[in-house]
Amino acid sequence: MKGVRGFSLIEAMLAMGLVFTILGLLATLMREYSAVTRHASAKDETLDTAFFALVEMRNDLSSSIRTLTPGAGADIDSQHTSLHFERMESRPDRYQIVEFEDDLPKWNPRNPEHRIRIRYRRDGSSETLLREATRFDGQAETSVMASKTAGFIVTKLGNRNYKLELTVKEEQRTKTLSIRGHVWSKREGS
Amino acid sequence: MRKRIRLPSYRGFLLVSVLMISMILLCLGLTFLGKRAIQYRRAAYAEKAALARCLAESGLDDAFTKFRRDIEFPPLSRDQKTFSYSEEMTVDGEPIGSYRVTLDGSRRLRPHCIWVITVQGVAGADPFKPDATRILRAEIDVEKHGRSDTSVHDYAEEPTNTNFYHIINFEDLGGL
Repeated sequence: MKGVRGFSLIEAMLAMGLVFTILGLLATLMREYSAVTRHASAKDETLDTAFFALVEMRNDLSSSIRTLTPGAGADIDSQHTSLHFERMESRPDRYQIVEFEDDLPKWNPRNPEHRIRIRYRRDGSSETLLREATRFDGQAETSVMASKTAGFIVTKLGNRNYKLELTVKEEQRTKTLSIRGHVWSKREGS
Repeated sequence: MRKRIRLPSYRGFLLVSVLMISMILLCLGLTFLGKRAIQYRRAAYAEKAALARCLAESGLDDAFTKFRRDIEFPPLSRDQKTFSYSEEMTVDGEPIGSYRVTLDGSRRLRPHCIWVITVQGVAGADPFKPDATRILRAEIDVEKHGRSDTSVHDYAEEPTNTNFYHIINFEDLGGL
Protein backbone atom coordinates (compact mmCIF):
# COMPACT_ATOMS: atom_id res chain seq x y z
CA MET A 1 0.00 0.00 0.00
CA LYS A 2 1.88 2.89 -1.33
CA GLY A 3 1.65 6.26 0.36
CA VAL A 4 0.29 4.96 3.67
CA ARG A 5 2.46 6.14 6.49
CA GLY A 6 2.74 4.20 9.69
CA PHE A 7 5.09 2.70 12.23
CA SER A 8 7.30 -0.20 11.58
CA LEU A 9 7.14 -3.04 14.10
CA ILE A 10 10.47 -2.02 15.62
CA GLU A 11 9.36 1.61 16.00
CA ALA A 12 6.11 0.59 17.67
CA MET A 13 7.86 -1.81 20.06
CA LEU A 14 10.48 0.76 20.93
CA ALA A 15 7.83 3.42 21.58
CA MET A 16 5.77 1.04 23.72
CA GLY A 17 8.86 -0.03 25.63
CA LEU A 18 9.73 3.58 26.38
CA VAL A 19 6.17 4.43 27.42
CA PHE A 20 6.00 1.43 29.79
CA THR A 21 9.41 2.28 31.23
CA ILE A 22 8.33 5.88 31.92
CA LEU A 23 5.02 4.74 33.45
CA GLY A 24 6.86 2.21 35.61
CA LEU A 25 9.29 4.86 36.81
CA LEU A 26 6.43 7.24 37.55
CA ALA A 27 4.55 4.56 39.51
CA THR A 28 7.68 3.82 41.59
CA LEU A 29 8.25 7.53 42.13
CA MET A 30 4.69 8.07 43.29
CA ARG A 31 4.79 5.09 45.62
CA GLU A 32 8.05 6.29 47.19
CA TYR A 33 6.76 9.85 47.37
CA SER A 34 3.59 8.72 49.07
CA ALA A 35 5.59 6.71 51.63
CA VAL A 36 7.91 9.64 52.33
CA THR A 37 4.96 12.05 52.71
CA ARG A 38 3.15 9.67 55.04
CA HIS A 39 6.28 9.14 57.12
CA ALA A 40 7.04 12.88 57.29
CA SER A 41 3.48 13.71 58.27
CA ALA A 42 3.46 11.01 61.00
CA LYS A 43 6.80 12.34 62.28
CA ASP A 44 5.48 15.91 62.30
CA GLU A 45 2.36 14.81 64.14
CA THR A 46 4.37 12.96 66.80
CA LEU A 47 6.69 15.92 67.31
CA ASP A 48 3.79 18.40 67.31
CA THR A 49 1.92 16.38 69.93
CA ALA A 50 5.06 16.12 72.09
CA PHE A 51 5.72 19.85 71.78
CA PHE A 52 2.08 20.65 72.59
CA ALA A 53 2.26 18.34 75.64
CA LEU A 54 5.41 20.09 76.89
CA VAL A 55 3.88 23.55 76.45
CA GLU A 56 0.69 22.47 78.25
CA MET A 57 2.76 21.00 81.05
CA ARG A 58 4.81 24.19 81.35
CA ASN A 59 1.63 26.32 81.47
CA ASP A 60 0.10 24.02 84.09
CA LEU A 61 3.25 24.04 86.19
CA SER A 62 3.49 27.85 86.12
CA SER A 63 0.23 27.95 88.16
CA SER A 64 1.52 25.52 90.77
CA ILE A 65 1.15 26.52 94.43
CA ARG A 66 2.77 23.40 95.87
CA THR A 67 5.11 20.99 94.15
CA LEU A 68 5.00 17.43 95.44
CA THR A 69 7.43 15.81 92.96
CA PRO A 70 10.11 17.15 92.80
CA GLY A 71 9.40 18.15 96.39
CA ALA A 72 10.58 21.29 98.14
CA GLY A 73 13.49 19.34 99.67
CA ALA A 74 14.69 17.86 96.38
CA ASP A 75 18.26 18.70 95.38
CA ILE A 76 19.06 21.10 92.57
CA ASP A 77 19.77 19.19 89.33
CA SER A 78 17.99 16.12 90.68
CA GLN A 79 16.05 14.20 88.05
CA HIS A 80 12.58 12.75 88.45
CA THR A 81 10.34 10.61 86.29
CA SER A 82 7.09 12.37 87.16
CA LEU A 83 5.79 15.85 87.89
CA HIS A 84 3.24 16.19 90.67
CA PHE A 85 1.86 19.47 91.95
CA GLU A 86 -1.16 21.33 93.29
CA ARG A 87 -2.79 24.33 91.69
CA MET A 88 -5.98 26.30 92.12
CA GLU A 89 -8.85 25.28 89.92
CA SER A 90 -10.48 27.94 87.73
CA ARG A 91 -14.03 28.08 88.98
CA PRO A 92 -16.76 30.74 89.15
CA ASP A 93 -17.10 30.61 92.92
CA ARG A 94 -13.44 31.44 93.51
CA TYR A 95 -14.19 34.76 95.21
CA GLN A 96 -17.10 33.48 97.24
CA ILE A 97 -17.03 34.84 100.79
CA VAL A 98 -17.64 32.51 103.65
CA GLU A 99 -19.49 34.05 106.59
CA PHE A 100 -18.47 32.97 110.04
CA GLU A 101 -20.33 32.92 113.34
CA ASP A 102 -19.08 36.34 114.36
CA ASP A 103 -20.27 37.75 111.01
CA LEU A 104 -16.76 38.62 109.96
CA PRO A 105 -16.44 37.66 106.32
CA LYS A 106 -13.49 35.49 105.45
CA TRP A 107 -11.98 34.45 102.18
CA ASN A 108 -9.23 31.94 101.65
CA PRO A 109 -7.36 32.49 98.36
CA ARG A 110 -6.07 28.94 98.57
CA ASN A 111 -9.23 27.22 99.64
CA PRO A 112 -8.43 23.49 99.93
CA GLU A 113 -11.75 22.67 98.26
CA HIS A 114 -10.70 24.59 95.15
CA ARG A 115 -7.39 22.81 94.78
CA ILE A 116 -6.60 20.30 92.12
CA ARG A 117 -3.70 17.86 92.12
CA ILE A 118 -2.05 17.21 88.81
CA ARG A 119 0.43 14.48 87.99
CA TYR A 120 2.26 14.05 84.71
CA ARG A 121 3.85 10.64 84.25
CA ARG A 122 4.85 8.30 81.50
CA ASP A 123 3.08 4.99 81.26
CA GLY A 124 5.69 2.45 80.12
CA SER A 125 3.28 -0.18 78.84
CA SER A 126 1.35 2.13 76.51
CA GLU A 127 4.33 4.47 75.95
CA THR A 128 2.11 7.48 76.56
CA LEU A 129 2.48 10.61 78.64
CA LEU A 130 -0.50 10.87 80.99
CA ARG A 131 -2.03 13.79 82.87
CA GLU A 132 -3.91 12.74 85.95
CA ALA A 133 -6.02 15.43 87.63
CA THR A 134 -7.58 14.74 91.02
CA ARG A 135 -10.02 17.17 92.61
CA PHE A 136 -10.62 17.74 96.31
CA ASP A 137 -13.75 15.55 96.22
CA GLY A 138 -11.75 12.63 94.80
CA GLN A 139 -13.04 13.03 91.27
CA ALA A 140 -10.20 11.99 88.96
CA GLU A 141 -9.62 12.48 85.29
CA THR A 142 -6.83 11.01 83.16
CA SER A 143 -5.91 12.23 79.71
CA VAL A 144 -3.27 11.17 77.22
CA MET A 145 -1.00 14.09 76.38
CA ALA A 146 1.42 12.39 73.97
CA SER A 147 1.96 8.96 72.49
CA LYS A 148 5.05 7.08 71.24
CA THR A 149 7.11 8.41 74.12
CA ALA A 150 10.41 6.84 75.13
CA GLY A 151 11.16 8.87 78.25
CA PHE A 152 10.08 11.71 80.52
CA ILE A 153 12.43 13.49 82.89
CA VAL A 154 11.86 16.47 85.17
CA THR A 155 14.99 18.25 86.41
CA LYS A 156 14.84 20.72 89.27
CA LEU A 157 16.92 23.74 88.27
CA GLY A 158 16.05 25.99 91.17
CA ASN A 159 13.36 26.70 93.71
CA ARG A 160 10.93 27.84 91.04
CA ASN A 161 12.52 26.56 87.84
CA TYR A 162 12.28 23.17 86.24
CA LYS A 163 13.38 21.56 83.01
CA LEU A 164 10.91 19.23 81.36
CA GLU A 165 12.23 16.69 78.85
CA LEU A 166 10.17 14.39 76.70
CA THR A 167 11.74 11.79 74.40
CA VAL A 168 9.61 10.60 71.50
CA LYS A 169 10.10 7.71 69.11
CA GLU A 170 10.28 8.27 65.42
CA GLU A 171 10.54 5.52 62.80
CA GLN A 172 14.24 4.88 63.16
CA ARG A 173 15.43 7.21 65.90
CA THR A 174 14.38 8.96 69.09
CA LYS A 175 14.23 12.69 69.62
CA THR A 176 14.28 14.59 72.92
CA LEU A 177 12.38 17.86 73.28
CA SER A 178 12.79 20.06 76.31
CA ILE A 179 11.26 23.19 77.79
CA ARG A 180 11.86 25.24 80.90
CA GLY A 181 9.07 25.91 83.34
CA HIS A 182 8.84 28.69 85.91
CA VAL A 183 6.50 28.75 88.89
CA TRP A 184 5.02 32.22 89.38
CA SER A 185 3.01 31.84 92.56
CA LYS A 186 4.66 31.88 95.93
CA ARG A 187 4.49 28.31 97.03
CA GLU A 188 3.46 27.02 100.40
CA GLY A 189 6.33 26.54 102.78
CA SER A 190 8.77 28.50 100.59
CA MET B 1 -10.41 5.97 -8.66
CA ARG B 2 -8.24 4.71 -5.92
CA LYS B 3 -9.63 4.86 -2.43
CA ARG B 4 -7.12 6.00 0.25
CA ILE B 5 -7.20 4.25 3.57
CA ARG B 6 -6.93 6.77 6.41
CA LEU B 7 -5.13 5.49 9.46
CA PRO B 8 -5.56 7.32 12.74
CA SER B 9 -2.92 9.99 13.17
CA TYR B 10 -0.47 9.49 16.04
CA ARG B 11 1.06 12.90 15.58
CA GLY B 12 0.91 14.90 18.79
CA PHE B 13 0.83 11.76 20.92
CA LEU B 14 4.33 12.47 22.17
CA LEU B 15 3.40 16.05 23.09
CA VAL B 16 0.33 14.92 25.02
CA SER B 17 2.41 12.29 26.85
CA VAL B 18 5.09 14.81 27.78
CA LEU B 19 2.46 17.28 28.97
CA MET B 20 0.75 14.63 31.08
CA ILE B 21 4.01 13.50 32.66
CA SER B 22 4.99 17.12 33.30
CA MET B 23 1.60 17.72 34.92
CA ILE B 24 2.01 14.73 37.24
CA LEU B 25 5.51 15.84 38.23
CA LEU B 26 4.29 19.39 38.74
CA CYS B 27 1.47 18.22 41.01
CA LEU B 28 3.92 16.17 43.08
CA GLY B 29 6.28 19.13 43.35
CA LEU B 30 3.52 21.53 44.31
CA THR B 31 2.20 19.17 47.00
CA PHE B 32 5.69 18.83 48.45
CA LEU B 33 6.27 22.58 48.39
CA GLY B 34 2.83 23.21 49.91
CA LYS B 35 3.63 20.90 52.80
CA ARG B 36 6.98 22.60 53.31
CA ALA B 37 5.32 26.02 53.26
CA ILE B 38 2.87 24.92 55.97
CA GLN B 39 5.78 23.65 58.08
CA TYR B 40 7.61 26.98 57.73
CA ARG B 41 4.47 28.95 58.60
CA ARG B 42 3.90 26.76 61.64
CA ALA B 43 7.49 27.23 62.80
CA ALA B 44 7.18 31.01 62.34
CA TYR B 45 3.93 31.03 64.33
CA ALA B 46 5.52 29.03 67.18
CA GLU B 47 8.21 31.70 67.38
CA LYS B 48 5.62 34.50 67.46
CA ALA B 49 3.60 32.66 70.13
CA ALA B 50 6.74 32.32 72.27
CA LEU B 51 7.45 36.03 71.78
CA ALA B 52 3.88 36.91 72.84
CA ARG B 53 4.29 34.87 76.01
CA CYS B 54 7.66 36.51 76.75
CA LEU B 55 6.07 39.95 76.30
CA ALA B 56 3.23 39.02 78.65
CA GLU B 57 5.75 37.79 81.23
CA SER B 58 7.69 41.07 80.86
CA GLY B 59 4.48 43.01 81.50
CA LEU B 60 3.72 40.93 84.58
CA ASP B 61 7.25 41.41 85.91
CA ASP B 62 7.01 45.15 85.24
CA ALA B 63 3.70 45.50 87.09
CA PHE B 64 4.87 43.32 89.95
CA THR B 65 8.11 45.30 90.36
CA LYS B 66 6.16 48.59 90.34
CA PHE B 67 3.83 47.14 92.94
CA ARG B 68 6.67 46.23 95.26
CA ARG B 69 8.78 49.36 94.79
CA ASP B 70 6.33 52.20 94.24
CA ILE B 71 4.12 52.85 97.23
CA GLU B 72 1.75 54.97 95.11
CA PHE B 73 1.29 52.38 92.41
CA PRO B 74 -1.28 51.98 90.97
CA PRO B 75 -2.48 55.60 91.13
CA LEU B 76 -6.16 54.98 91.76
CA SER B 77 -8.71 57.32 93.25
CA ARG B 78 -11.01 55.96 95.95
CA ASP B 79 -13.87 55.10 93.57
CA GLN B 80 -11.70 53.93 90.74
CA LYS B 81 -11.41 50.18 90.39
CA THR B 82 -9.17 49.49 87.45
CA PHE B 83 -6.01 50.95 86.04
CA SER B 84 -4.29 49.96 82.85
CA TYR B 85 -1.25 50.90 80.84
CA SER B 86 0.59 49.55 77.85
CA GLU B 87 4.17 49.65 76.66
CA GLU B 88 5.69 49.05 73.27
CA MET B 89 8.79 46.91 73.16
CA THR B 90 11.57 47.51 70.66
CA VAL B 91 14.78 45.77 69.70
CA ASP B 92 17.38 48.07 68.11
CA GLY B 93 14.66 50.65 67.54
CA GLU B 94 12.42 48.19 65.70
CA PRO B 95 9.05 47.50 67.34
CA ILE B 96 8.55 43.80 68.04
CA GLY B 97 5.36 43.93 70.05
CA SER B 98 3.74 45.33 73.15
CA TYR B 99 2.08 44.39 76.41
CA ARG B 100 -1.01 45.76 78.05
CA VAL B 101 -1.36 45.54 81.81
CA THR B 102 -4.72 45.85 83.54
CA LEU B 103 -4.85 46.08 87.33
CA ASP B 104 -8.19 45.26 88.86
CA GLY B 105 -8.54 46.61 92.38
CA SER B 106 -12.19 45.77 92.89
CA ARG B 107 -11.15 43.13 95.44
CA ARG B 108 -8.35 45.05 97.11
CA LEU B 109 -10.25 45.54 100.34
CA ARG B 110 -11.13 42.98 102.98
CA PRO B 111 -11.97 40.20 102.99
CA HIS B 112 -10.32 39.46 99.63
CA CYS B 113 -7.31 41.81 99.79
CA ILE B 114 -5.99 40.97 96.36
CA TRP B 115 -5.08 42.83 93.20
CA VAL B 116 -5.79 41.00 89.96
CA ILE B 117 -3.28 41.71 87.23
CA THR B 118 -4.12 40.70 83.68
CA VAL B 119 -1.41 41.08 81.07
CA GLN B 120 -1.81 40.65 77.34
CA GLY B 121 1.39 40.19 75.36
CA VAL B 122 1.02 41.08 71.68
CA ALA B 123 3.64 39.96 69.14
CA GLY B 124 3.91 42.03 65.98
CA ALA B 125 4.57 45.65 65.15
CA ASP B 126 0.89 46.54 64.66
CA PRO B 127 -1.17 45.94 67.84
CA PHE B 128 -4.37 45.93 65.77
CA LYS B 129 -3.07 43.12 63.58
CA PRO B 130 -1.22 40.91 66.07
CA ASP B 131 0.81 37.92 64.90
CA ALA B 132 0.14 36.18 68.22
CA THR B 133 -1.21 37.08 71.65
CA ARG B 134 -0.94 35.62 75.14
CA ILE B 135 -2.86 36.47 78.30
CA LEU B 136 -1.57 35.87 81.81
CA ARG B 137 -3.49 36.53 85.01
CA ALA B 138 -2.03 36.86 88.48
CA GLU B 139 -3.44 37.67 91.89
CA ILE B 140 -1.27 39.64 94.30
CA ASP B 141 -1.93 39.19 97.97
CA VAL B 142 -2.09 42.52 99.82
CA GLU B 143 -3.38 41.19 103.12
CA LYS B 144 -0.70 42.11 105.64
CA HIS B 145 -1.94 39.75 108.27
CA GLY B 146 -2.42 36.04 108.29
CA ARG B 147 -5.17 34.24 106.46
CA SER B 148 -5.95 31.40 108.79
CA ASP B 149 -8.96 29.17 108.43
CA THR B 150 -10.11 29.84 111.98
CA SER B 151 -12.55 32.55 112.91
CA VAL B 152 -10.80 35.81 113.64
CA HIS B 153 -12.07 38.65 115.78
CA ASP B 154 -9.14 40.99 115.68
CA TYR B 155 -7.12 41.24 112.50
CA ALA B 156 -4.25 42.92 114.34
CA GLU B 157 -3.70 39.86 116.47
CA GLU B 158 -3.15 37.65 113.47
CA PRO B 159 0.32 36.55 112.47
CA THR B 160 2.04 38.28 109.57
CA ASN B 161 0.99 36.97 106.21
CA THR B 162 4.00 35.36 104.54
CA ASN B 163 2.37 35.74 101.15
CA PHE B 164 2.08 39.53 101.52
CA TYR B 165 2.91 41.17 98.18
CA HIS B 166 3.47 37.83 96.51
CA ILE B 167 1.62 36.24 93.66
CA ILE B 168 -0.95 34.07 95.39
CA ASN B 169 -2.44 32.59 92.22
CA PHE B 170 -1.34 32.54 88.62
CA GLU B 171 -3.10 31.41 85.47
CA ASP B 172 -2.11 31.18 81.85
CA LEU B 173 -5.28 32.04 79.96
CA GLY B 174 -3.83 31.11 76.57
CA GLY B 175 -3.78 33.16 73.43
CA LEU B 176 -4.29 33.28 69.70
